[in-house]
Amino acid sequence: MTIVDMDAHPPFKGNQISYTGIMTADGFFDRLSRVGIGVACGLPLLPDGWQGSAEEAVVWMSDASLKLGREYPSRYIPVVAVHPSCPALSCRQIERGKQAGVRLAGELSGEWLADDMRASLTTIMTCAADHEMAVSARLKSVEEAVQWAERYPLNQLLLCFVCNIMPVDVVKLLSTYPHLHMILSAPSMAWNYFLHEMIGRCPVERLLFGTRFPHINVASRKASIEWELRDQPESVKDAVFGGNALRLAGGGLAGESEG
Amino acid sequence: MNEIIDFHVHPLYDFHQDDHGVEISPALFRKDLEACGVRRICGSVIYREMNRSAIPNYEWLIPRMNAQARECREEMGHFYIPGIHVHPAFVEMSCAEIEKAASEGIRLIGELVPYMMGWTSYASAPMLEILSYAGEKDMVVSMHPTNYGDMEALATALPHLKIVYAHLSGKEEQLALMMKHDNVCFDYSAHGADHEGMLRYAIDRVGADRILFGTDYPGNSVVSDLEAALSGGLTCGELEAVLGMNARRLLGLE
Repeated sequence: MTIVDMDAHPPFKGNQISYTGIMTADGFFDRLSRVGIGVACGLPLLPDGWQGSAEEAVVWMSDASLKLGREYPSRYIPVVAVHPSCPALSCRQIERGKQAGVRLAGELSGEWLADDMRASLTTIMTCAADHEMAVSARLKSVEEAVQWAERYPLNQLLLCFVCNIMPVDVVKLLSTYPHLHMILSAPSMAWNYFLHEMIGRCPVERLLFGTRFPHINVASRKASIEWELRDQPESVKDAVFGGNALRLAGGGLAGESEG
Repeated sequence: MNEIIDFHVHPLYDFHQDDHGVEISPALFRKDLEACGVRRICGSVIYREMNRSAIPNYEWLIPRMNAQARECREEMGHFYIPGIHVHPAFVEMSCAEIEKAASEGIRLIGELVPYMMGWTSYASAPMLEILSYAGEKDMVVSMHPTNYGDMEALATALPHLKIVYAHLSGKEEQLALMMKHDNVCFDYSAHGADHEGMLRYAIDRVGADRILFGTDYPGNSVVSDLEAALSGGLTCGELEAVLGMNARRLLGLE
């Protein structure tokens, strides 16, 4: 089984990470390998002290992600960046990504649900749906998830929460909205018996392992999710830890085989 | 490796039962901890009924909770090292509870959870009186953090009291407290080590003899906090200290 971390964000040239110092892309992938995680997926970290515009960030992160995808073809699933302040540029990233074999765009943010961003966001989401590209979102509340889900029913949405989310809310979201997928990187997903009990009430094919590495302790988070799934059959563990992610976002860049 | 001691657990904890639907019975409580490799545990009883009750209720709640901790020890034997509660609104009762515990060989107070019991300061006059008496009885006090000023005031006022503050997360104020006060340790329960590299960083700053493995189980994952040490780049000696030796030293365990 290849374990895929769907909420992992590689440094491109090297970033200062709290408590660990400078981390490079090699260091990032080595750490993941040491804890048994074969593949990472997520936008690269912007350079420390970044002060560029949203437009520059979209291009920088998409470029860096594609380069990392070529440098680490068997260990990294690239993502293209989008931002509602530059819908046309974002759509070009989606088109460019599609041609290169990328299957995921991100990361949406809760603030982008504001009314003044609705038109440009709809342009981006329509473009993603037209190109059959899933979209990831980092959210701060269940209410944000509901808004994303209801406003964009044609997009496959991969949600990760920076806040704690209760099992009842995960079950309700996934049951109500078949286009939602849940990345299990919210802190509460590591709490005792939360995922252990929740998984019996969830569509397993829409649960995805993720950690928020390198900010979060990847070994701890992986161990806690493994513990929570201790009573599940291997087929469920395979799906959550990698199968679902590879089905949604894997495949490798054009002209390159996936390892 | 010597036996792994989880310094921070709470028997009878039911705060998340409505969220996941599982009653963590004492039997399940012990089974899960042992399945994760833990061989001894320390901590106080807490549960929803005692959380944010009216202050007068703690005059009977505290003796009852302490009695429940003793009952858990009867049930779990060597596995469980009980921690008792005290309350600054009831100095005489608290000192009597300390006296009784000490006479029974119990050497742990806490984890104290002031925010659940309607008080806020470890350095208040009544609490200093209680904790001074605890120090005379050579007890170890496990405490949920209040604020750094208050925590430092306690460490300064009672320099011989063995203090273990809960929930180390690597903040500079926490490390500074340990560097300044030899009587202060921290446990890293409840995902304190969730940030990549935190344990290694903290040990480099204050030494491995000041940090204790703890989990806040059953509220939080045991394996998460355990794995933070096991995969945290610690030497064998550091692992021994954090995962058990420090608790043994503080509590005077054989």
